[in-house]
Amino acid sequence: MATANDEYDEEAPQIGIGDFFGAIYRFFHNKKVGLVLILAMGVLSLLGILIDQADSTVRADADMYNSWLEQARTKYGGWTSVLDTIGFFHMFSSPLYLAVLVLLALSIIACTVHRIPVLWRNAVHPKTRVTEGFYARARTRSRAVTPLSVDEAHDRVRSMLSKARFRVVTDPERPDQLYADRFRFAPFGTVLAHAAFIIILVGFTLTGAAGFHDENVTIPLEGRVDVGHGTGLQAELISFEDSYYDDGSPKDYVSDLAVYRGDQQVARQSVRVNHPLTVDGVSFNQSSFGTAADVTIADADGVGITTQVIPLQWTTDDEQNAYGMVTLPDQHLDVYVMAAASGATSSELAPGQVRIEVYGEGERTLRGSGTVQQGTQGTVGGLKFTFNREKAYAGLLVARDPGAAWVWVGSGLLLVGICTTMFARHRRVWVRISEDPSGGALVRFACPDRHDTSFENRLDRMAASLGDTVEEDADNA
Amino acid sequence: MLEISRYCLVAGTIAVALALIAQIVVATARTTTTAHRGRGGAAELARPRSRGLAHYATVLSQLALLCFTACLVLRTIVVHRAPLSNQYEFAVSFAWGIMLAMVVVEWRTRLRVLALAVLPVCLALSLYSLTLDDEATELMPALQNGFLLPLHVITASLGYGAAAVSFAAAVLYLLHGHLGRVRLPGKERLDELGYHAVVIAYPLITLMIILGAIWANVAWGRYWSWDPKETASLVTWLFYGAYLHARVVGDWRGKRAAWLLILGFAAVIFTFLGNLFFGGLHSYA
Ligand code: HEM
Repeated sequence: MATANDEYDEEAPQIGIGDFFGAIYRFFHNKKVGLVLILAMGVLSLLGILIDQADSTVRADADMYNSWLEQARTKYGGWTSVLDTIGFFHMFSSPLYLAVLVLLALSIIACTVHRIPVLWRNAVHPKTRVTEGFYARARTRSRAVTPLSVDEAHDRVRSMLSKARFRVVTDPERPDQLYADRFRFAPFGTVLAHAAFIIILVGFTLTGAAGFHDENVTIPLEGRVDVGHGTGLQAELISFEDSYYDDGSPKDYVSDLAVYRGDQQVARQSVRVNHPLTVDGVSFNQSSFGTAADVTIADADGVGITTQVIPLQWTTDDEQNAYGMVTLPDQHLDVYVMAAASGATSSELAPGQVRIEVYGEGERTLRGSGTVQQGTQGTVGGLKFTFNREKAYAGLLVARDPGAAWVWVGSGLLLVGICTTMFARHRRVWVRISEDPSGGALVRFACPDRHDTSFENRLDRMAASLGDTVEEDADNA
Repeated sequence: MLEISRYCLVAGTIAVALALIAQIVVATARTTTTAHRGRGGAAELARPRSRGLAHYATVLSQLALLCFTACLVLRTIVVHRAPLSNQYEFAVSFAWGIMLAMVVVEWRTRLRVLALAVLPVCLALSLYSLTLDDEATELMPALQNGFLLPLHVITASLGYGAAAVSFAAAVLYLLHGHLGRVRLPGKERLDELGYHAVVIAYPLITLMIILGAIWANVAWGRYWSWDPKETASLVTWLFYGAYLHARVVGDWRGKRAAWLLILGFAAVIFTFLGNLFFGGLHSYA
């Protein structure tokens, strides 16, 4: 095709923009490239399971990540730096993985766009004329000789195919040839399936880019907290109940949760693990629960700084103690509060006692530590702490996910697309009817598509019945 | 009642083992039949004995399916929920899915020889399930979803059962010509059978993953979290997807496609047993 450049220089061969994009397009609609990309995604995903993954909170903190890497070094030795550099410790957000996903998406789009005209032609304007050689080479073939004349055989084949719910296309100029098919639009199922995969990827992208997922919203009993993330919502834990089976394993956790916008309550529900509460696209899932310490902190002069209910949401390595942390921004201090974990047998902390440790904000140097009894005040690291009481807290997982709807639509289309192509397979058959030297007609069926025994049997039965009907007719006559 | 359920599993396992032995005998004894058949007519003479055994092999497979079904039904009655929530129950369901697929394929295609590769997988699984603790555990809160749990796991059992058949077809495809006395269907037929099994398995595995995502969204507020088990099922899905596409790429048909089927089934087994290697949200099963 002539491009604009040709007008300026007719002699020199030019590589036009069109050729460049053409080459890229050809690369992407190449089926082998597509196959390699699918396999690449499979293999990388597998590596993402086999290789230890550092989660995002660990990676967000340089110190934590370094110590994570040190631990990984004991397992991966000299490979650790290599794996770290290529991002294999966070495979699913690594540049390589994302690149494969993008290439796969481009490949799917190119493949599909490239195939739509072919599918359309096959469905709407099928070629009815084929060569003699076609009948010799087609993957599925069947034939029969009948004593009928060519015209009679033509009519018989036609009505037989129609009865089997095939669409029959004839060529007025070539009465010796027939084309018939069933489920001619089913191959568009692959278009659906391919588009669906892209839609799911769009959903994933939206989830990552425009949503939030906060796994750690803790609300003390009778407390109210800001949900944050620009939602303008507050959540209040009205009551909490946990129940257990006889063997001690957990049976149910229920939070009676109310959600407010400003002063107005906008929702209230019993939230269980499988029964989240959803308000304005923000969902609240029950995720954990535990004990919190209600602590009042004052400065050395006894001037109150804050009263906080601090969820003791982490446990020490020996599982004997539970602890939580609060940051005092004005004092630039981190305060850790620790109590015996529930069910602990060998904790050094007695019930009704908490241990306080004070650190510089974000630092590891201890400024002071001490133990405080419930209802009393103690001084630790220059601050006065009063341990008021223990309280239950519920840990909620709060999320807004604008991508989810896309994922569900994509999933539905994917299923519909896959089932359509696979269960309503496009069946095509070309039939040629010619005079047989024996005096009757020779009927040949041929299909070039992937061999399928049940379809072949069907054609064989049709061919055989041509003979049978003739005999029946002869008997009846 | 739980004991009776366990006995059913033992009986099913024995039936699978006997069916396998019978199939091996039939497959290796058939040569005499075919040698005669080549010369026409004589096949009828050699047939009755081996056909008798082949018949029993089929009946034993059906019996095994029946035993596994009984095992699961009895367990359902005792524990008052679908028996689909710990490794023991999954293993029995998986074995059940494989036997179901096997019995259906035998019934539809009359091709018994596939059993040579399917039954060993089923036998290994049912033996494995016998080593597991069959105590009826209570459901942890995340699993208390009377709708999604059974649907998610049943689609997995059925899909993985069909996948086992495609694996068997691929194994026989690759062993074609190397099995000496064992007479196999044509390579093209095996290729087609492998594909047909995937046509059943692929939509089911797709559905299973989608149901899993819906459930994760309800239980954990997130439809996908790259948890090892869900990622493993994605890997399985991608390998089978690669297989479907390999069949339309010139030099990937045939042998390489068969290897992809084997890879796909290896991924199924990895997904199933994965908890032995990795933790994650699915750690209960
Ligand atoms: C992971 C992403 C993909 C999914 C889920 C997917 C899904 C499917 C499905 C379900 C089929 C029908 C298969 C059958 O009936 O046997 C199909 C066919 C097809 N796909 Fe994909 N596909 C994906 C990626 C690709 C890519 C990247 C390409 C292009 C390079 C591609 C090209 C094709 C072609 C050409 C067919 C037609 C095969 C035939 O003629 O039977 N697909 N796809």
